Amino acid sequence: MAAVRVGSNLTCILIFMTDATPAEPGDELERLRALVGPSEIAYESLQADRDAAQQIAQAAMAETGELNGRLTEMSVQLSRARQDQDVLLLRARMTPWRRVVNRAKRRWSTSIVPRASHVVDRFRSS
Amino acid sequence: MNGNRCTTSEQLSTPRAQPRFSVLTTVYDTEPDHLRACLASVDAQTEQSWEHIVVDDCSQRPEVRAVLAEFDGQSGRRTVIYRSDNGGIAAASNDALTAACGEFVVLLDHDDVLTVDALAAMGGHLRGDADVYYSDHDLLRPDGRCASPMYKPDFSLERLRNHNYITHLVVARRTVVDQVGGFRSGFDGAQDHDLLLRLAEVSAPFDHVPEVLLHWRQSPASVASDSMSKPEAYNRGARAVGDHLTRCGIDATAEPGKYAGIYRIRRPVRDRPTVSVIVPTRGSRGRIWGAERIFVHDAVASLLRVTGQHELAGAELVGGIDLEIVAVIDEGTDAVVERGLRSIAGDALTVVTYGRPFNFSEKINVGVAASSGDYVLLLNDDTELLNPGSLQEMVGLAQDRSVGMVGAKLLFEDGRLQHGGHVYHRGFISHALLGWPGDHPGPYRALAVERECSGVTAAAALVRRDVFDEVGGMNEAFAVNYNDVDFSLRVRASGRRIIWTPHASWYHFEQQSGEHPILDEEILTVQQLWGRDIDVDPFYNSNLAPGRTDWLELPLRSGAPPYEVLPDGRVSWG
Repeated sequence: MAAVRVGSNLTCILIFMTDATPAEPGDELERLRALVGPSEIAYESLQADRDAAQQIAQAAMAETGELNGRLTEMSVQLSRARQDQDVLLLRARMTPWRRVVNRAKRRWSTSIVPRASHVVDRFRSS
Repeated sequence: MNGNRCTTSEQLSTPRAQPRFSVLTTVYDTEPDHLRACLASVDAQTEQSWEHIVVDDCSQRPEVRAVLAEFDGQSGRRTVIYRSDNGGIAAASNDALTAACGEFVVLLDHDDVLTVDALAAMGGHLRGDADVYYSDHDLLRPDGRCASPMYKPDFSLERLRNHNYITHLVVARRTVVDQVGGFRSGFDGAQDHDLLLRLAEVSAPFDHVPEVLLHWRQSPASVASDSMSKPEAYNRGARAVGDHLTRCGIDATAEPGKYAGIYRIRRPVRDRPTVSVIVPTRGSRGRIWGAERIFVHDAVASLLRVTGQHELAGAELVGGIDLEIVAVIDEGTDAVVERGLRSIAGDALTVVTYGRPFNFSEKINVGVAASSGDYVLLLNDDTELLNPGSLQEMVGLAQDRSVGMVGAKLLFEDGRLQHGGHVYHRGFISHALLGWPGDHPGPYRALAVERECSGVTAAAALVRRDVFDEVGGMNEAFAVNYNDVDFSLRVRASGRRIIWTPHASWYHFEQQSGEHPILDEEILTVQQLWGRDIDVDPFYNSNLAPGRTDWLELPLRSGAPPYEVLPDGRVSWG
């Protein structure tokens, strides 16, 4: 047994189909009319209504998406500010000696090692 | 002009070894303080083997000559040439080039500032097999602060065609610059882009030094401040790109694009190729914009609808492409799926029934095996075509034999960006700028230009059949995730380029057609196979933060916010 819910003018009609006997064409027409509702809107109109509703839904989602996209973009800016702030705070808390060691470490890893490896590469290739 | 190419004995009173670098600067009515800063930055170089050729293009401001005189004898390595007439930047640059005798020429604008170690850093990267080098740069605000560093990708030919992403600092072997004929007249304002394109024709790839070595001055009249300040330059730039395409034998036109400094390249499709669209599906349904759909029906219908092939399956498409739809349908899928596809695609449809446990790669492979097109469009069933000309754009790019694969811009249902090319950075694999507004040009215009990528998603990607066959198709070890990463890396390993284009676009209703969580084994397998390739992305930058794909810089490398002149004339400091 299958139950079909049909909504029309806030009224729900339940149609119970109790056997698998094919319905007469007239019965089927009545059933379809009941599905469509009392105003018997043409399928083309229903299709047009659905398309219009879909476009409205799409436009609404696009607006939300635009806002969400901007939020994502702004969160990058926020991350940028926060990570810089974090490093600066860390530096502010450092003792002078620790700061010197840190700077030396950074210079070693970001400048001296890459340049030395370049020199070694050039030496090897020559 | 007054200068001739120097030799060590002609122009210098005491013999001196050939300098390594010849810094070339053309000057015209420069702000004296800016010119002073520029000249001082050259004098302050830690590298010692340089000469500075300055050509004054008949400046009207007397202060310019005074500043040049002030700096003339300071270093003993500066040659100043005064032109008797104003010939434009290309002519003046050629005069400088003629007078240069260094092994490499360094192009420096009259108001820009080199970092103190710029030449030394470049010198550390010089190799025998590269002729052109470029570095990252940032902007020098009017208040003297450095802002908005541009961390560039490694050499990206397609991106260079779309816009001059290189700009500064450029170092080129002088013999190669001579070989291409130096600067061309008639391209003032875009003469550097024109030169780079011609250099790319003879000595690509350029070598990229991922360090900020130049501060590009941002003054109200400069392109650094407002890219619309020189519209004529962009028309000349479009002409330079068009000439370059012609010289490369590429049948295409170039015109100024949607954003200043961006060029739109249009490539006609040749020889009426057939594109086989491979759509694996199990007939998933979902609700999109409030209405339920069978995804694959809309994916195929949207392709055929825009091309007029909807009711006349097998007919020629707009733009000269024939379409073949190959649907790889899981066994046991509701018959309504195939019936619907037949009514949509008619004779253009080939159905392949797939009876094994789900394996996306295998489904693609059996689909391609059953197809006959010259090109293969890998297409997820949860997509809908957005730009009607997408296929033409992708085929246009894939016609180039050096291109192996072309990816498209994909948007979520709400218009946010789902795919802007892959980024593989420090072991992190993701889509570039995921979730950004779909119409955003992106940092450094990354989303507004055609550019090389490390990889693209197979949700909508075009591959030439010979390339697909040569790399052995999709790797069936990746049943669900990362199959496109593996495939992309194999295409690149074959020596071909992968291009992402913003001019081809689809909606991609990802995850609506089923959840595909990434498994640990998949991560492990891709790491084992492609360790270094997913660690270092040549089209990203080592100065950018790990674990992200949104061009966020490492801490304290982002500089000050950019200076901006508002429409009402006020200045915003960001």
